[in-house]
Amino acid sequence: MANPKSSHEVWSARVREVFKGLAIQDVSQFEATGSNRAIQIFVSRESFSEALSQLRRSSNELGLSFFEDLFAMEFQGGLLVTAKWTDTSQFGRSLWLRVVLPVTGTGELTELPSLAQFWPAAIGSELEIEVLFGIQFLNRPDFGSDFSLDHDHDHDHFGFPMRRLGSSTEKAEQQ
Amino acid sequence: MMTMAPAPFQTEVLQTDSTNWVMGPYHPGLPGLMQLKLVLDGELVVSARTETGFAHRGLEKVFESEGWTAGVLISDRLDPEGAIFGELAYCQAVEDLAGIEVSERALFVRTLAAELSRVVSHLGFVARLARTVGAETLFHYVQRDREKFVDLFELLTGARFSLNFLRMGGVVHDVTDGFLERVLEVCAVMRHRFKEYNDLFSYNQAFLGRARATANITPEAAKRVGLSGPNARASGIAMDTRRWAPHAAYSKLDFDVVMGEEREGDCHGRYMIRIREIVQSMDIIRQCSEIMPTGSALGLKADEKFKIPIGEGFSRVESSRGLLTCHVLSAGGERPSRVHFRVPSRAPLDLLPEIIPGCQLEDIPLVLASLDLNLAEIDR
Repeated sequence: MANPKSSHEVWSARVREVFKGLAIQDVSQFEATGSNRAIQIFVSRESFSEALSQLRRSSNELGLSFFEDLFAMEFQGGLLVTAKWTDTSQFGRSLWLRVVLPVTGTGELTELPSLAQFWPAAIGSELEIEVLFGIQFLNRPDFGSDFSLDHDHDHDHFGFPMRRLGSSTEKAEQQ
Repeated sequence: MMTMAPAPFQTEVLQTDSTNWVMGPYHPGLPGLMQLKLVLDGELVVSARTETGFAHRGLEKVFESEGWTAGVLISDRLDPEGAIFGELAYCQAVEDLAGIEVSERALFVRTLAAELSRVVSHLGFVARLARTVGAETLFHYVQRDREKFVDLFELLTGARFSLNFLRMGGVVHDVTDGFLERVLEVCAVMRHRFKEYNDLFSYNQAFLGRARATANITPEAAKRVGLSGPNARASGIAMDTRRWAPHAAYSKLDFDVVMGEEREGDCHGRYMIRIREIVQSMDIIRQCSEIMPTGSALGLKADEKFKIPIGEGFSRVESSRGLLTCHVLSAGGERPSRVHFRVPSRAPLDLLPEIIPGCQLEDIPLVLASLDLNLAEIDR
């Protein structure tokens, strides 16, 4: 019987190999309780598109067939976008691809290549992130889903509702 | 007297244009505030678009202005029908981040509450589906039985909805004397009800005629959009978070992933899988009551201060609708910097433009009900 630890190490090494040659900023192991651990790979914004292509080519081999999630958060003065894939047949085989987008101006839009063009499961998250965080996903296919907020009745807000960076609230607090 | 000969009968080919039909955002056939933009050819749906965001609550943003413990109450509102799942996902993520230990008994009490929630949610699904196709009698029967399970929540937590039952490291109240016996009594009654449900509805020809081969979801389509939970299992995908990423006390319990016999991914298959899951949940509840460990299940008190280090926490839960995950970020302060939920209702919503075309207009409420969409968690 194979040692599960060594099998995981082999798999982790293979994941690192897939992203070899890209501008990787950091690779680490995210340890959560139970089997919820993951390999997290921080790539530069410039390498994000290439990283997606590499992963798309290798996702079957790595067993990362299930696109789990895509979300954004504020992080060190920018926006951190995390995409998650997982293998639903093996405990603890998950990959988080992470990229930090610098944001400086009030209500400033920033861009990333669309994940939905390769993984349609990302479509809902991309629509939400675009409205709530102001990140545009380029070349996003139209799958017939729309997401809109009723901005007409939100008079107090300027910018993107989930962002603190450069929002009117932050400005008012500074004043 | 001359009689007029009748004019010869002429057939006329009616030319119809496709019509645009907008359902919602307020419509009784929809599961919540959303819009369906349909193009119809007569009664046949040619294409569909969905729109959400009409009642977006900014729930994830609210976490950022409240304390760590108050987050339990907010996560209740993620899915009012299965409140315990949001609580469980949030508490597990925070416990993971802070390294808070959960007692063995608390794990079992949480599992018990989660399975009771699953039964309540699935019975709500059956009631809604029955009413959608005009089976009013079954709707009332199911509501009658569902009330008994909601009463159990009142016994356990003091609340029927918005339970606010979990705390970091455990639960608010331990199970009281006689509670487990009462749970088993209700489950025993419920087992007899399934014959009634099946006789009345499950294999009723009128229901089968409408629900079979309607809005089929292939396994490929299910994988493509990240479908999970009973909807995915009805399409033949054997994925259950309780098995592949066990949480609470599931690793100590004996159960299989319910797959059903149909595996065709149609409306009837999605109904049948939930009926079978109710039976399975009651079996898990029985196991929990039999091997419930002794000790305390109580968690930290609501006003108890605890330190959350800088970092991230993550958890997965199998909610009644599928894979629910929670990701929390802490900057070391008194409240979370970011809380994010991956909700299971998003994937079936994204599938609608693909599976609705080809259906009759009258079947749309049935298709929506069979997917068990929860707009509250989509517009969270």
